[in-house]
Amino acid sequence: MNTMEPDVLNQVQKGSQEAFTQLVETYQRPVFNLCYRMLGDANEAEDASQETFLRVYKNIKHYDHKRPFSTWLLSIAAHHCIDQLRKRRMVVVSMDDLPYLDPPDSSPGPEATFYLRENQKKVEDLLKSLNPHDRAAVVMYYWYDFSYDEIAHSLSLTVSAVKSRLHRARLTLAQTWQKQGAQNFSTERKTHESPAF
Amino acid sequence: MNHQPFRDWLLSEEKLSADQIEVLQEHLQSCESCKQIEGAWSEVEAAFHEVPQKNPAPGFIIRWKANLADYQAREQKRRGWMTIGFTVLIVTVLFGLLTTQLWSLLQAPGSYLVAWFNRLLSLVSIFYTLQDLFRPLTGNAPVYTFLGMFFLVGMISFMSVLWVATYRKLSMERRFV
Repeated sequence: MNTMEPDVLNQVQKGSQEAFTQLVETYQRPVFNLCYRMLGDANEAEDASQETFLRVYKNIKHYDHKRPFSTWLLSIAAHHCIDQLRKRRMVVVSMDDLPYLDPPDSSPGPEATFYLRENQKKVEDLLKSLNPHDRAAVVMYYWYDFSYDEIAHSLSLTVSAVKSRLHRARLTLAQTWQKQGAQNFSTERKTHESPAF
Repeated sequence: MNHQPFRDWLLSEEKLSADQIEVLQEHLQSCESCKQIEGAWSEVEAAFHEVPQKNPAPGFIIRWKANLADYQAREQKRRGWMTIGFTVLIVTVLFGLLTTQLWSLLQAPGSYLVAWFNRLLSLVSIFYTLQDLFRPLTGNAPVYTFLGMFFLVGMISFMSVLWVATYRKLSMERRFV
């Protein structure tokens, strides 16, 4: 992941908007990616990323230089996404109402694009099977190479809690993958079967 | 059969000893359920590695700038309302105090005027007491001069502090915006 020059961070803390724009430019991709993995929707991920940067803007004076900036930033994003997922449980939204504004992938060909999209969908469904905290731990561990310690710090958990959450999440993911495989197999059989049968 | 220890080993990131690996391999040969979990987890890990990073839609920075401008406008409005609210509060308190004074003047004008006259007299006596107190410091100069100088020094100090604070604020904004 990209890192920020300490000088730029100092300027950001002193209130420079130019430096803050530079910061947004540097971290827009990792923040958006984390939000997308957490929320599974491009529009919600966009809103969550914008809100994350606004929270960072409001609280930049509290940032402690001893801690890596990316860890601090992504922990804000993760906490916001966890809150959003908790709120979402209470609101029922029709999936048809949500437009899918995903930028096109620059893939070599239609087959590869199809394969990637399928894989992407599978991973999204897999992540949805986890509770918000477990999902955040998995995303930080597998996409951002966070250590157990960093995840614990970011999610306000103990290291042993992170380990046990990740272990539980792996088992859930493996079991969900098995179920998905079984469902896909039965769907494939149904589509290839003759309607007469 | 108890699958728990084997699943713990399968899904753990910690390194297993040679003995543990041997026991696990033996178990996997005889246990279909654990074998499936192992296979499924390997596939999940592979899928995680294959999935590319998601990019935000183009124009993220422009949208961010617009959001920030909105937030700043809201903040400015909020501060404006707070200042108005504070001013209204102070005016209300002052108006209340003034009303009570006027009310007592209307109720009993004679006694009210006497009370104010007494207060005025006590102020004059305080002034003369102060003059006597400060005579050794001021010498023959009247106490007005001394009080005037005191007031002047106070005003100069206050204005200096105000000037330094304003200068710092303006120069900081110019440096970083």
